[in-house]
Amino acid sequence: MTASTDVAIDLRTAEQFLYREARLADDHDYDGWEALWTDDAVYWIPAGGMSAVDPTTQVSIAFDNRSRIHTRVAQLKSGKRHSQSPPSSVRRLVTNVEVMGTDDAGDTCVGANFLAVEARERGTTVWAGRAEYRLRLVDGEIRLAWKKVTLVDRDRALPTLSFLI
Amino acid sequence: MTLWAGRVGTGLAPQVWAFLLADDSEMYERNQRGVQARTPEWLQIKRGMHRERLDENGHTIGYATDEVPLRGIWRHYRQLMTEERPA
Repeated sequence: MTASTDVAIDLRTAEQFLYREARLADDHDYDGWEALWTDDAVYWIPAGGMSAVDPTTQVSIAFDNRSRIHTRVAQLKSGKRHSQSPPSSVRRLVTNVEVMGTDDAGDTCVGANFLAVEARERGTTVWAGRAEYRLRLVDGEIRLAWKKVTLVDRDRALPTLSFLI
Repeated sequence: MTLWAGRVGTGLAPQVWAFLLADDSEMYERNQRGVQARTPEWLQIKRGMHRERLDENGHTIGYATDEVPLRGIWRHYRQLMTEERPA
């Protein structure tokens, strides 16, 4: 990872992208959210108390490649996922945004904290954690190549997590 | 890079793991809320009872979504709890 001064995407631009991604997820704008991802994207939500370095051997809440991201969205859009029928009412804050540097692929690494409040029939649930992103410029547009969501309570019994976090 | 495994899933094909987890746990959460309601006190397990039948071998037959297995479990339980046992 190189110094953050060399990054392709500056903090303000990165923030705007993160906020847009958060809004599309909160609004259940599934097509808009899916369109943010690159073709080689990975969406990862680790579970368990370990450092979660290897999702191929450690349990994840979600570990999607691009095809699975599409399937996840298609299922949400089908209306047949009863865990999102009706959809959760969700609003999230994305804060403490930092540009962390550039990875080997040239993607800009961005870190943030998030706090999401989800209301549904079972009650109101607070979700919080660390969100890490790798952003890439594709034809002048920022796209999301990688997102890891590390929940603060990932090593505990979690209620159903069925919205796009 | 191949991405696979590491998902909490059900007894279904690996391709659908993690997608069903949320729906499964949602079902458990709703069941739990239903049980906690305490009214009515009885759980209905009569889905498909109108089409339950015995085949020529005496096996109980129902459709895939019917609650035949649940009824079977409790019929057997009642039998065990009520049958005469040798002294």
